[in-house]
Amino acid sequence: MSLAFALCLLTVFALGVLGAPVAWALFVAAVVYLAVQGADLALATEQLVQSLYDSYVLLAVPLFVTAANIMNAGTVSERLLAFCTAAVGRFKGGLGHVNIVSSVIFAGMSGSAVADAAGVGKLVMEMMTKNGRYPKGYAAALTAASATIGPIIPPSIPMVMYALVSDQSIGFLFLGGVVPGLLVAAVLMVVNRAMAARLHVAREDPVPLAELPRRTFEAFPALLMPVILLGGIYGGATTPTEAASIAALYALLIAAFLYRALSLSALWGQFVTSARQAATVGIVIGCALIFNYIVASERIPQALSGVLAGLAISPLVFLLLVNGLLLLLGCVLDATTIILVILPLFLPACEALGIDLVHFGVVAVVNCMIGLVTPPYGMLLFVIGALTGTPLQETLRYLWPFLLVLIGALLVLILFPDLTLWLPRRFGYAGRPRLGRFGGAAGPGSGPKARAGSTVAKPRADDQKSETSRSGGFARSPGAGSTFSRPSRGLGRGRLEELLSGYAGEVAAGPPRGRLAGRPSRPGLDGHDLGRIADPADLGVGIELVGSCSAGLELIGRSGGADGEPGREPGEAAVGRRPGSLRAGGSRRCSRAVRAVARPACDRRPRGTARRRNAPLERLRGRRYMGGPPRGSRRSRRDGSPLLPRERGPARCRRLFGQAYREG
Amino acid sequence: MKGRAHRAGLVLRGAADALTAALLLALFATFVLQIAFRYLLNWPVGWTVEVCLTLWLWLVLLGAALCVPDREHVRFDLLEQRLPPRARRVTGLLVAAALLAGFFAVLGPSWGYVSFYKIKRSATLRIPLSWVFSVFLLFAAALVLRQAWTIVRLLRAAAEPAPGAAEPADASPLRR
Repeated sequence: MSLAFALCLLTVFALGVLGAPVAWALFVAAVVYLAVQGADLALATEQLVQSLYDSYVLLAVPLFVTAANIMNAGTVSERLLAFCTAAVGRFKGGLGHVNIVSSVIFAGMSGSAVADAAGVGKLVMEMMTKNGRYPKGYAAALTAASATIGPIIPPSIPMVMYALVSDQSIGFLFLGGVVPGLLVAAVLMVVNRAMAARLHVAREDPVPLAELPRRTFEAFPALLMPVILLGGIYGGATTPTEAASIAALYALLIAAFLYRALSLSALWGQFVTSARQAATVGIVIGCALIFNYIVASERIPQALSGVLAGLAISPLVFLLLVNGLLLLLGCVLDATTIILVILPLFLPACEALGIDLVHFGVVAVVNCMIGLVTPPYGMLLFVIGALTGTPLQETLRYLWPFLLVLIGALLVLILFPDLTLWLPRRFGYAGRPRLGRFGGAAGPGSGPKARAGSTVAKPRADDQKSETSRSGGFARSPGAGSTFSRPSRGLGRGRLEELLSGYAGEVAAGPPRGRLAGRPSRPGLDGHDLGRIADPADLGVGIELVGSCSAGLELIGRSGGADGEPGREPGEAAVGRRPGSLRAGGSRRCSRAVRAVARPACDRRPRGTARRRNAPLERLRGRRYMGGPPRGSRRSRRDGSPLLPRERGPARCRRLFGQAYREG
Repeated sequence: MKGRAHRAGLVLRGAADALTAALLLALFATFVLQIAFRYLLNWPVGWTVEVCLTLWLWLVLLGAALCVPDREHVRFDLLEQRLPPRARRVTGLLVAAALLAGFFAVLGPSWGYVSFYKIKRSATLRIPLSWVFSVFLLFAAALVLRQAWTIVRLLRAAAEPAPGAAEPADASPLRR
């Protein structure tokens, strides 16, 4: 650790403890780091601005926030609650169950725990404490505990953030959260039942069953929301980011027109609130990503990975240790900070140990959500305390059993990765091979079933030229890191889809040069835009990988036809392997790398796109780019110009992809 | 006099709120448009992505600098709250001074960074990127002013020891 980094850490802690907003503390610490390094201070600016400007996936954050606020304002929560009361209120501990079930349903529409607590949680708490049916502290504790389900069940803002730093597919992460979320709900219901008996809570008057159809009908549009959202994502109609905007639109429509519960001024008020909340989250993300950059350039994650490798630790022990640490950190840190700053430290080690990153991510998100209810710093406890005026002490008295079972559920999730990975696999997630002594599936083939399995396996079998096998671990073989596997020739649309179906990434249309039309073809391909390529010749320019590919593979979109380059078959594309070292720096660089790969293949970078985006290619090729602390002249860093010679066109492609293109 | 300043502050604040809310609304509308164009009109448009990202950048930076009050920011205030008012004022001053110095220090280099980008244009809309990124300058400048104001406020509060009201009614234009 360099002196600069030590000072940087010191600044963060000092400012943080003294009560400075986390974002500002991180930013100023980055400035301190750069100043001590003697580097250009504008690098902090650059990292902040570029990380926000570059990350398409983050756009889901403001949209989910807006959606949740509109739903809370537009009586969607009330109707949901009426439905849940009719459905599960009749059992012992009825309102407690209502609390949990409504959290589960609301979790399917909103991606934030705080929105859950502030909306449906607050309402159900009022019901629980009316006439002193439940002790106030118990109601608050249960509401806080059940609000943790919000970001575990998709959609989920924390998972979007994890996807950003880990380079995993948002779609699969979301799917991975479903079973854990239901598990958490189940264990909470068990505790609620037991506590209701102990507290001698009076049973509710059951809502007559005849009421149920009417209430269901009233709540039906709201209940449809998760279906639309998840159906949109997994049916291949929308990206997770677009799904967020659809959620907001749908909430707006039903609140304003169907329920007529939202006046224009109230709606505007919700937008003001949402904008503020989105900015609050966004600035923490942006500043945390500056910090990420510093941590990565200090090569801390690699060092950590190396140390762990030296200890010869088993994956299970590693997971347990990391989760123990995260639980402790969750007591004092905010979930966003943990996910963006702390988790990337462990990602290289996870990869080296063969831990599935989707599994790790889901477990870590569950862990961070538990962190939201652990004192002394528990965001949910604060929110609920503030909204309902429940003293913290009173809540804490009843919180312990819930905390215990939540941690128990976490342990189960750690021990049985299959619980998390079962659903993603049903949708074609290939996962990573198990290298360690984990229980559960061994090998890549066993995961995806039937059709998905065969599509993943087939290209391998066909592609004689592909040197490295899927399970071979692209990161670990030295030398292989800087080469791409060779392209398969004459790749048509079907073949391309086949190749990509296993490696879902989020793909969005860049500046559209080609014609994009048609329907997505395959569920589980959350880079659904690929499905819409009517003609493979369109691939060249229009497609840009925005998010990431889960398996470390990316499309090097290349089409001869569109660009009119002679001697190349239309739709020829290459699937390349990315060296694992790239992951270390956090996803921003990875996603840029993906773009970098996508772009030169297009030959013509749209004028005006920053050349520096190509710089990570240097990294791909084993050289250092911004690897150490930033150095060199201003100009070279800003546009990266000295790093790449300026040839263009085929020559450039040939140089970048070497063998691949000569053979093509 | 103070009343007028206070009112001006409220107006400014309302304007900032309205601005960020409008940015969010535009972001939302652009997204809806993007989907509508693709599915209803079968005519995918590429500029929406860029518009959204630009709006998002502006929303976050402006919102965080102008609209979000200090206490709404994500922060760890457990220790701070335990402190007696006097010590809290001291830590507040320290923090504000550190932040002021930090943001002031990046102002100059950021100017260089942003103005450098005038030679580059955005991918689809061909706007000079310096315009897009210029919001950072607003952001940093607003934060410098805000921290300066906090310092002034804390010093003033220290100067006039009013046992009843530890903190005077907040008249900052940037805080509610």
